[in-house]
Amino acid sequence: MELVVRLAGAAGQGVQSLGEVLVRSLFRSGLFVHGELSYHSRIRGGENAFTVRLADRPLFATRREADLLVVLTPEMWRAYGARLRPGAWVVAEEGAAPEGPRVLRLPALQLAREKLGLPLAQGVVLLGAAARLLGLNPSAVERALQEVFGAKAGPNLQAFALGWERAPGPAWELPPPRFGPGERMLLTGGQAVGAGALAAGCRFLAAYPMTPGTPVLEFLAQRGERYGVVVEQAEDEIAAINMALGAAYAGARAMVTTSGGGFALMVEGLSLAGMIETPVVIHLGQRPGPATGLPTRTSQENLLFALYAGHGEFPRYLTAPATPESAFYLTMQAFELAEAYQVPAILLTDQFLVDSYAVVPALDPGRVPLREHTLSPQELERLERYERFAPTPTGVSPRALPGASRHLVLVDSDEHDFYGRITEDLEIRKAMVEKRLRKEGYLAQETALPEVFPAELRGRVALLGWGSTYGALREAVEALNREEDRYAHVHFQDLWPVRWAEVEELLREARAVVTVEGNAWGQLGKLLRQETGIRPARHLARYDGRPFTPEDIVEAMRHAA
Amino acid sequence: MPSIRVLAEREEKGVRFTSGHTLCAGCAEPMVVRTVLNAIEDPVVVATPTGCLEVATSRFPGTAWNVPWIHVAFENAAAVISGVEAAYKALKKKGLIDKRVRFVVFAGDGGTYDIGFQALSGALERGHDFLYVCLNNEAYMNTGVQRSSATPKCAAATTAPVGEVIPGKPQERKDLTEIVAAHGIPYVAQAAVSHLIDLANKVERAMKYEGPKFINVLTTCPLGWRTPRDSAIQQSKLAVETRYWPLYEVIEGRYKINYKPKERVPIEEWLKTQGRFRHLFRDPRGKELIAQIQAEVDRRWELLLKKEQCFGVGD
Repeated sequence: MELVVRLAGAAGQGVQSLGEVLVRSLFRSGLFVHGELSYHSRIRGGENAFTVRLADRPLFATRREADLLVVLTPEMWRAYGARLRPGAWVVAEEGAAPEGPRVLRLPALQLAREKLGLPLAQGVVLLGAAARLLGLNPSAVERALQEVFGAKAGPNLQAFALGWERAPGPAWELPPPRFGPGERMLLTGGQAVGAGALAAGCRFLAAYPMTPGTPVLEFLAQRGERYGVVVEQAEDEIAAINMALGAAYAGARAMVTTSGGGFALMVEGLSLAGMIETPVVIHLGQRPGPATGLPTRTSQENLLFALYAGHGEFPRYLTAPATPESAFYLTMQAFELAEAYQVPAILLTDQFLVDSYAVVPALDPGRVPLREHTLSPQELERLERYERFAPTPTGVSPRALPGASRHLVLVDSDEHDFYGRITEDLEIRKAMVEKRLRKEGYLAQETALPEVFPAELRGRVALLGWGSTYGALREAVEALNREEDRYAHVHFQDLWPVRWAEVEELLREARAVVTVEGNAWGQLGKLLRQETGIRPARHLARYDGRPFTPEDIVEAMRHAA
Repeated sequence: MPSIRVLAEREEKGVRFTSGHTLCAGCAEPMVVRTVLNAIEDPVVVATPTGCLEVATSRFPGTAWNVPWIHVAFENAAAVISGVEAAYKALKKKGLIDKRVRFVVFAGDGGTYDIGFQALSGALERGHDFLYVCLNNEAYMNTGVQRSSATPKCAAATTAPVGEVIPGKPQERKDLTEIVAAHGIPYVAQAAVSHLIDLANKVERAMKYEGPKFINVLTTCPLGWRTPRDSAIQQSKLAVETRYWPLYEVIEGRYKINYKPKERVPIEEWLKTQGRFRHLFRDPRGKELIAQIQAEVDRRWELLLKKEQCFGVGD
């Protein structure tokens, strides 16, 4: 059982809110949903589409074609009218779509204006009709309308009823509830990163607005007071990361959130974090570049940038969540590993993951144990002498906080000795480089190897991915294997450090490796070849700013075969 | 000084900023841009950093710009126009170009007060010959109303949300006009979209000076201010009448207030018309906060009067 509903209108017509209402209604009905927001970078006009998938199992990908299309404008009919599956229904504003079988045209704007005096409720009228066709329980939708519109729910509830009345009975039968209240959560990747930061004890966030990094800033700005997080909007990203480093030096778990352009400005600060061995978590939400690129679209173009950004050599933790669930746990882990190894940790997401809704098992913060990684005042009191950068077998020096004891805590961006004083002593320089790099080997032991599906890779064509392509890849491999059981899905979550020898051993089993990435270069493929010598046979690229759908991958693979 | 007729004639002769852009209904930006461009007689080159104006005027299949126009990254408009102007000067020196070309930046408050400030300060100090116009709508509207350092105290923004404890933005807005004036450049002014002839006069006056010129224009935004779409001019007028946004010039260090409201209109009159301040009229602390806002408006106005008294143009 699977249905795809697409809501499409111009910016300013409330398509995002309609999508949220629909997603919540289905979630409250105990169904698995996925909601993808696709929008133009402009304040008014342009295309806004919200694609909702529902099924009886977890979903983490979107679809190209819909079973039910709700269109508010003729432009949206032209954009999406051809992308329908056989037997699809259309609910349209009168005049937006031509008459036809299974096309329900309603004078929604007129109804909203004349009966409610609220032209903006036009979309809710259409949603009412769509909900009835879907066979939704009206009370689930009414509850969602109240949640989304709050004090303004009144006229929207009336608008919903106006649409409901004008639709024929259900065209589909929805499956029975698959989960009960409290068992699962509905959340976006952006919310998951924000929640993960709260759960990991984040105490400081500095950021500068940049799509799609901003949702995390807004999430924490709204909750900062309640959870004791200082949220600072900086004057630019250079200030943001340096504020975070200052806060981390003082002992707060600190974070920044941005996109590629902002990360570019943060790079000098990233290198500083490497040199002064001060933990910081960087949420990097990718969008297509170069430069301003496609500000509201998605991409996976920054893997190599995130990995190699920063002058000089220093370790970092780089990880790419696949779903909102993994975004939550990996955000927690990023904080924990940044603290444990005194390194910068980069969370590589993208617009698709940040803005898409998915249903995940109820989150359990206890799954990532939090530890204290700084010396307590008692421990410091016992020390005769304290050196911030003391050499150790793991390379990790005991970390004291400034002002917490009689010991001086010196950090310096110049090369420094164990105590933190500037030095040009060549022996010390060598020792410091080696100490910093030594941390990477230990950090690598804490990172996950790629997930392999099905577990036995021998003789199969391995489709390799990372980050938010997870759902599309998994569904594609399942579909391909139904035709011919010879494919596998290998998904990287942790992208640095990687235990490459183990990865190589694993992938040598495969008959061939194909990379599937939201970039033109095949960046994971390049990295794989550099580190293991394995050369991907092919790269399935997508760089038009849209997320992969399962059918994109299936068709491309069939074509190749 | 350019009259409405002159501005209209120039528009007839060759429109520099066309209609058909996708700025919101009720947005004040296009009026400011047209007025500024029509007040300049010479050919112009325009640089615009990321922002509402940029995304709404340059989208395929059209462009609203009928003058050479460059969009640059968010923080760089002043740096890029410096480069354009320096290249022009070099060409002129070599005798490869002889016509007089003017250089104009249109940037929002985010790109001017915050991320673009370093580049702006550098360009002012180096003394490039250009006009920088800040379309100040007091927040990052293009990305969904985040606070900037131009956002007034107590205004609601997504990154300065109104809660039970915090009544919107806790900080005062930066007085950028005075900061720019402190660079000692030849021409600095404040203008507002409700006073377009005043704006045109300022542009014309500014262009008489060689070197950096800066005009900070209060540019109302129905989306971010949460005001009716037909109220841009009223909003702007009230900002001037309440002395929140004085119209004044600093010409070669000499102050001139262009308009002194005869009556003291309380700031409340302006605040109560905008959704971004609505909480002040519901919160029990609202009265006190409004009194604080009024005190700051009065302080800045008194200071400005004193500056004019001490360093006036002298009639």
